[in-house]
Amino acid sequence: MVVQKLMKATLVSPRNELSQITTELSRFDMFHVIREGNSQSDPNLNDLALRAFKILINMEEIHKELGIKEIGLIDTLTKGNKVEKEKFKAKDWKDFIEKLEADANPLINDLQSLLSEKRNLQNQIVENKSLKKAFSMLADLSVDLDILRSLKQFHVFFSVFSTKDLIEVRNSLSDDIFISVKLTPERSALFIAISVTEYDRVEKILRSFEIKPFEIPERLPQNLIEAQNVVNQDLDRQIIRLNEITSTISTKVEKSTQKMHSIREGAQTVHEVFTGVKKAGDLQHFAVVSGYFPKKNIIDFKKKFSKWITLIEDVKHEEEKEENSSNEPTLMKNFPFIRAFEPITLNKGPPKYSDVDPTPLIMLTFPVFYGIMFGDLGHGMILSLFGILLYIRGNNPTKKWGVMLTVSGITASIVGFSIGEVFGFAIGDIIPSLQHPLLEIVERHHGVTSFNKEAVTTILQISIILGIFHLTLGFGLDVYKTIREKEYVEAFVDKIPTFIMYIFGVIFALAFLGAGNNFDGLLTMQNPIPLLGIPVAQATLISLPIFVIATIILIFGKPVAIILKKAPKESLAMSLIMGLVEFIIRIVEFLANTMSYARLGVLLLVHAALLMVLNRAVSLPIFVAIPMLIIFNVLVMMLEGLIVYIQDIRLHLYEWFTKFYEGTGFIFQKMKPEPTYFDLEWEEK
Amino acid sequence: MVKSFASRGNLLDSSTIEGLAESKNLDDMLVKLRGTVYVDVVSSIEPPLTSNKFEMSFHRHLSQIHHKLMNVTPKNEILTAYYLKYIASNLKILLKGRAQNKSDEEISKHLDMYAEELIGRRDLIVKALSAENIEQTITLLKKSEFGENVISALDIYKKTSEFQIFDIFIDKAYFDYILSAYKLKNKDDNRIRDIVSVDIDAYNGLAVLRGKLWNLGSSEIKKFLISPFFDLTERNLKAMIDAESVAESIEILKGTVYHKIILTKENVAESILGIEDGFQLMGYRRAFNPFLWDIDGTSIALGAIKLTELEMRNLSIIAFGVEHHLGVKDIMSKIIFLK
Repeated sequence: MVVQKLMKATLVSPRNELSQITTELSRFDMFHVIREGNSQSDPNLNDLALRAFKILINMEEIHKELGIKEIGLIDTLTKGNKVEKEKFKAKDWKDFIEKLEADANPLINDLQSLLSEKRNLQNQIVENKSLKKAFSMLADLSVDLDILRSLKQFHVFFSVFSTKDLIEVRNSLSDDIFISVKLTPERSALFIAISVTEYDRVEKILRSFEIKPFEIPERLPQNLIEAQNVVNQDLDRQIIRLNEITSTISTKVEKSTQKMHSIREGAQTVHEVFTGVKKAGDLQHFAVVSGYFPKKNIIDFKKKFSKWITLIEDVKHEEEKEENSSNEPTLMKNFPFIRAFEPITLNKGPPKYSDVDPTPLIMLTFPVFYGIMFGDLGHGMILSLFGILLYIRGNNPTKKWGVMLTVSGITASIVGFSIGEVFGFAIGDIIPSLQHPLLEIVERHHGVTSFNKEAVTTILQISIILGIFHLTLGFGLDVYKTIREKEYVEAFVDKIPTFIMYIFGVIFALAFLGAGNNFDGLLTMQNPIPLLGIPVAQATLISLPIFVIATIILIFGKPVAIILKKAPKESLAMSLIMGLVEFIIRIVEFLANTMSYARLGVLLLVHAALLMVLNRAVSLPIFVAIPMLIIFNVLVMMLEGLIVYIQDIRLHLYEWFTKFYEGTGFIFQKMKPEPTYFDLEWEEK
Repeated sequence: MVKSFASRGNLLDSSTIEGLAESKNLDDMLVKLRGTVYVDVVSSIEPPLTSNKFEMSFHRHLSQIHHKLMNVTPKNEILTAYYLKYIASNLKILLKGRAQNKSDEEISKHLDMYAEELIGRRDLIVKALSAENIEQTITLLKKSEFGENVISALDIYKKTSEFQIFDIFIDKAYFDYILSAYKLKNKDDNRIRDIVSVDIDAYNGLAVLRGKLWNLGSSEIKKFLISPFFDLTERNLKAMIDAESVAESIEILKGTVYHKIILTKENVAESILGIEDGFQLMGYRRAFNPFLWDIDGTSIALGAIKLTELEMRNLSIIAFGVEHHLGVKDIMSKIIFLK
């Protein structure tokens, strides 16, 4: 529930040792660098960062051009995520960059030259295809270029140009004789006939479009037929070469994909590390690096960095600090299993350094809620198997999903078992000894299925009870957090009254239900209230006064605190009105939030209803029924799985988190991000 | 609207801008830009690298963004009018070049018809370029949206020999076009009004100041003005025209809503440049507002274009600074970074 305690450290070293400090901090690993915004970058680190960046950019461009992608989810599931990490050993980051360059540069040069040759060939092929068309057009029209050139009074332009320029060229030469023929989608031919006096003007216009008079290229024989033959031969040769290059590139990529990923990631890591530390203060000869590390590593830290000037201080609590001081990062401290549920917390944002981390509680509530809404033994087991598959085959983030789905699947199976449902069929029909489930929500009589009204009521009641527990926990955490932050006045005039109002409001509501939804018998009736079993009158006499006292504190607490100078000065009337408004909001909120948990039961019923409808397919011929049942079960699982996930998230983020959790912190970033494609081992000094 | 927000979202953050300014040379800057959304913009720059080539690439990128937003925005008349800026810019180069009897080759060196190519309007510049002298050029432009104004410009140029007169008249045609589009579709849109008004006021104010600087008569200066007037009213402008000197005109401008952008300098020409920068900065600031308040695509698209323009300006300054080995602090002092 509590995040890792941190220490703040400031290291001062001569500038020429900054690279060394960076390496040492990376070896130390658990160090979060404070990025200095205003100082100038250290030139040496800037250079190293740029060298890494060059490798990264070149690699990214090659990846993009060749369409190399990282392993996706489908591949992970079908083939697994087997990454053989490229191993590197380096003395320091500079040494690592040199090794990366030594590995990357030949590969980059090789691939870049092949890709460049491929692009050239593709251009040449386009060019030759249009030449081929132009030659055959000239041959078909029996045009002799030499005769055209020798005309005295007229000038005839013949040219091959880009088709996309056609309209603009035509508009520019609107008063001239102009004929165009499309040779290929990209290239067109044009004939312009003008008097010799107009030559300069037309030539200028054509030059603006980079259109030159057509001539048989010098590299070709100047005879049309012979040139045509050479172009044809060239084209054949170029197409063969293009295929060869394409295949060479494919082979090289197949062999080196892993290496390319590792080089790219390595370069990215170096760049990120240096970008973090390169702004090391404004001192000319000394570099200053500040950051945070876990308090438990203090001895190790002191030992490792004793050769430099080191200032270490405790991270103060929010309220002890000056207003403008910077915030600390949050290092969440959870067991590996609980860590799988951190993404749910992070949906709202990481906890602040002084906040509680609700992940351990989410580890309990999230799968329970999911299990209730998705309750079916068969579907639950399949969800668990899918989760296990993700865990076994996936990488780190996918493994977290694997754990979450496995646990949710297990709870769904337990709920499914408790209500006696497997793929929408009665478990008792398959295993006769299990004919009487704990809560039979679907009744089956002579092939007719319907909901059992009592069981439906029970499941809805259970949902609301769970909601009450969940919300009480939320309000309780809010009180805990406020007291932990030493906001005692706030706790006394707002948080504790709210917490008490909710608990005793619930008891009063139960008394009201026990009195048959009637105010008359609240103070006299002796029959037991639901859930707690105490008499209605007793429950009313306990809950009502406490509820009223809490309400009075909520409304009048803040104005009194202002009068007693325990709260910042503000208008008394306004704070009184705000107290009243807050009371009304709280009541509405209590009702709305609590009722919202009814969705747990409702979605379970929806799930069961969908399967009830689907299972009518059993009456169809078996060759239709079986594929239909399989396909629609998969669809129901996918659809329901998503809806249930969204509803579960909603209950946590909207109903629960809003009571106590802000999620406005930011995550502790280790000096060196966890790599996927490479392993870097630091050589001993 | 999504594309407009995406364009704004793609603008570089301050640390990247600073990182670019820290480049040792243009090669470094090119590498750094390859790691940003400008990878395609700079990939076409061929060595040897110069800040001019960078500037041209950024200019192309701006027109490309403008063209894309224009194509996806409904009621895009105002964006189409603003697009005329790129054609206007080439025409200014062409006319001033012709007026100074520069050769075709020399003029062509400064022309980039990429923006015209995107909308298939290179023919206007190409035809004008095929003319042999300034008179013939003006004749060829007669039928275009710049026709009347370039004729007026030629008349005054013949009297004053001040070739910057072409800038004013081309701008006049351009802003007239913007005003027509504004009146047609956007006059009830406050956010567009905010952006257009500062542009029109800037044009009118600067045209009067320059007219005074070139000692033109009141009647000639009045020819520069375009209406409707916005925050710089007809009365303000008339008073500026009738003032005894440029300095007095600037004093009158100080009494308007634009008093904050005026920094008095000893040299009035420098003061005018300062005022021009001030108007530009104000326009960029206003370009931010649609993203905060509007849900209408046109104002947001216009804002995105203006902010992209600002970024291109900043990147061009950095390229120039890096090429000339200016210090990071010197370069950063010229950068406008809006928060």
